[in-house]
Amino acid sequence: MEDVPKIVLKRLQQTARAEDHPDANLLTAFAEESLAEYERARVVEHLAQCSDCREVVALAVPASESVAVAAAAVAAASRPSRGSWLSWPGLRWGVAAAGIVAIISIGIVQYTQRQKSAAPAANLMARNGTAAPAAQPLPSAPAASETQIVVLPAEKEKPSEAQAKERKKDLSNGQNNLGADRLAGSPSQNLSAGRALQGGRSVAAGSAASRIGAGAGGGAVPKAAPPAADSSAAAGNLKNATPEETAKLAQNLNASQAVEVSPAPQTVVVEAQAAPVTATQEGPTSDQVIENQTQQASPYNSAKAVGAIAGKDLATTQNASKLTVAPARWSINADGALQRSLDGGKTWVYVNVNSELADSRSQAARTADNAYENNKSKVKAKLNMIFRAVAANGTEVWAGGSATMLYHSADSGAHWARVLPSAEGATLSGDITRIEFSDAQHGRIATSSGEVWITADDGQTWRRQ
Amino acid sequence: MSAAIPISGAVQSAVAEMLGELCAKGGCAKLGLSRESFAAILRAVAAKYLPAEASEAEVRVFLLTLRLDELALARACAAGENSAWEIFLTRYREKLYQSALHIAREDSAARDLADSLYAELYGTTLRDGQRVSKLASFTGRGSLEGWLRTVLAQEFVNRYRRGKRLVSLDQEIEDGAQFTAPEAEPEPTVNSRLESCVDAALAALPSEDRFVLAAYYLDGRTLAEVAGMLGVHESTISRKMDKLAKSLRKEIMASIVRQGVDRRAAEEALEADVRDLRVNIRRSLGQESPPGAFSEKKDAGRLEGKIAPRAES
Repeated sequence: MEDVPKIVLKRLQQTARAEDHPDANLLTAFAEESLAEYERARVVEHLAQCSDCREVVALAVPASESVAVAAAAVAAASRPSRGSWLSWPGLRWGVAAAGIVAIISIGIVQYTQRQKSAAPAANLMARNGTAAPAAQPLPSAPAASETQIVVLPAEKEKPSEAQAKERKKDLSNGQNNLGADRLAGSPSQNLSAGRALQGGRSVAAGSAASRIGAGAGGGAVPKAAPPAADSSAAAGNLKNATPEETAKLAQNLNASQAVEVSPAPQTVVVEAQAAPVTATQEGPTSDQVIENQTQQASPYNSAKAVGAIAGKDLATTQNASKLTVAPARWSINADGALQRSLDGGKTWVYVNVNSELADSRSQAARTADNAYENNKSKVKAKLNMIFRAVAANGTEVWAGGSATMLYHSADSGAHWARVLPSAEGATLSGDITRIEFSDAQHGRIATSSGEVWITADDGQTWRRQ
Repeated sequence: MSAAIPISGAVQSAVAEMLGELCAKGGCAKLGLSRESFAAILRAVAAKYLPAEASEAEVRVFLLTLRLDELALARACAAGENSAWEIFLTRYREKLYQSALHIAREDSAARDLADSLYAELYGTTLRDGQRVSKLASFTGRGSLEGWLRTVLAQEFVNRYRRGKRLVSLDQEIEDGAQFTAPEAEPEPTVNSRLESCVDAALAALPSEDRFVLAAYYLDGRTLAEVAGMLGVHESTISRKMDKLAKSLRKEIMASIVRQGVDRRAAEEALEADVRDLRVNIRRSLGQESPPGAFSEKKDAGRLEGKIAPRAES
């Protein structure tokens, strides 16, 4: 930043004049931006000259209101540790996607009917030394890639010329819908790409291509497309390999590369993309949000959707892999009302912990004037429930406040249950002032009466510290 | 209070007309505040902030922008209503202490600060045998919580200044004369013409710009803090500051040169002492990393730790 000459600052300081300080009301209203223009001008003018009032305003700025904004990272970290129904498909998909990406990122997929239209075979060549049956290097293959895999059509029945052509076209275009098309056509879908390669044998090579399209989505296919285009000549050099060999190689590759290579950078990216279940709230924002998901853009709905999807077939899950849900952030406003933001904090919506409150709130909103509608405290004043602390871990949300009020939601705020921690005849007392959940199971609640309550099982049982 | 300010007819009629609605919004009945006293409060508030010639429509809009519920609550507390006090305490006791901690940054000082404010809120000052609560001066222009924070901050600034004065006196006594004035800063040799040029350039700035400059350069606030004070994004302030510094320098140079001062001499005068200013700027920029940065890093580490073993298994 450019410096301001010192003389300027000196003069700036010296313009300060003694004057009536604006009262606390005006300074507050200034900080809250609720002053009329002419009043604001006066206050700013004063602030420009009065260091004391500047200091007051600076000190009175509330501590960051996002006490309990669940950092995306925290929730993401805690999420996978939860129930196995979530992590298992997530893991599986991570591995599947990893395999796919490993193949794509290091290999070339290509069909050719020019060479061996009479006897279609799948040839696979791995060039980085471990498995190389047809060990000539591919002249036109990009030198950068460590391993080259060339997969030729491997259907048992001879593919018609037209079919093969079409497939080739699709591939080299690298269209996103390729995967979906192919998937629709091949009924024997395994969830794991690795298994597809393993068990599918001759089918494997053919469908592997489509899987690649399917699993990796828009990102990976374009990457594969250019090599596919220029390697048609390269494929000409491939000979001799039988389907069995290919399958074996694929198996090897699957084992050695696809699975164990999974820590590769690409893998991480796709894992996040293809496994929304593991990071339900935290999916990276992508422009490919499925429309109906956008409409019901609330995390719990989406979470449900994800849950439902988890067990379904590949195509559906692939859709789910594109699903992105904005992370839900939670906060408590100055008036003690619980708020949730689904768009990273741009807009905040009040959340009711029980339906009775919902009614009274909407009534309040109806009767409110335009001018007053902005005055959010109004709404809450009727409720007389003051939240002071909120903690969120993925879809698990805990919110507490005045007079032992503690609510828990396991679905990002769709349903709430009141909780009153008690142990050995004692129950929690006072206002809840702090809620901390290190993960979904382990939490700590502090009250204004100096009590600390601890749970290690998501609030089922409590222990007073 | 209300007696001091004449109340215009517009205010009178607007308050009278809207009283029912306003009372309902303020929840006066529940708080034990009578319609008459609330009307008097509203009239006084409107008269205090609105120009005397404000039209009735303006008064209406103004009344609706007030925090009526909090105004009613504060004034009911000031009037000694027990039910109001109960509500006030459940709502604000903890917040008050937290705000005090945020301001004083130290537990015992915070407690002290909060306690003294409590005393004032309860109204220990006796005036004509009557208890006067500080809450009686709340006018509902901003939120009650914000007002409480501001009042705390004012009290803190007052004390801090007192404290500072005491310390420097002590120092003077204990350490002797050599420590009293820590090397008076060498006055930059500037001619009065430069000074008047600078004054003019500053005066020509919008007050908000001067406010930003003063908060950043004089008070040593960080960009984030300045942005927080104005309720804008940090980057906005950063850009503004940059533009401001450039244009200010250009403006001053131009006006000096217009006055017939040699450009080079003017530049030299303007650059005087710029070096120690840079040090200040660096220091204030150095404070900018938010305190939360470390905890976030820790979280990120945890995230990696959890994902990595999964990928291997």
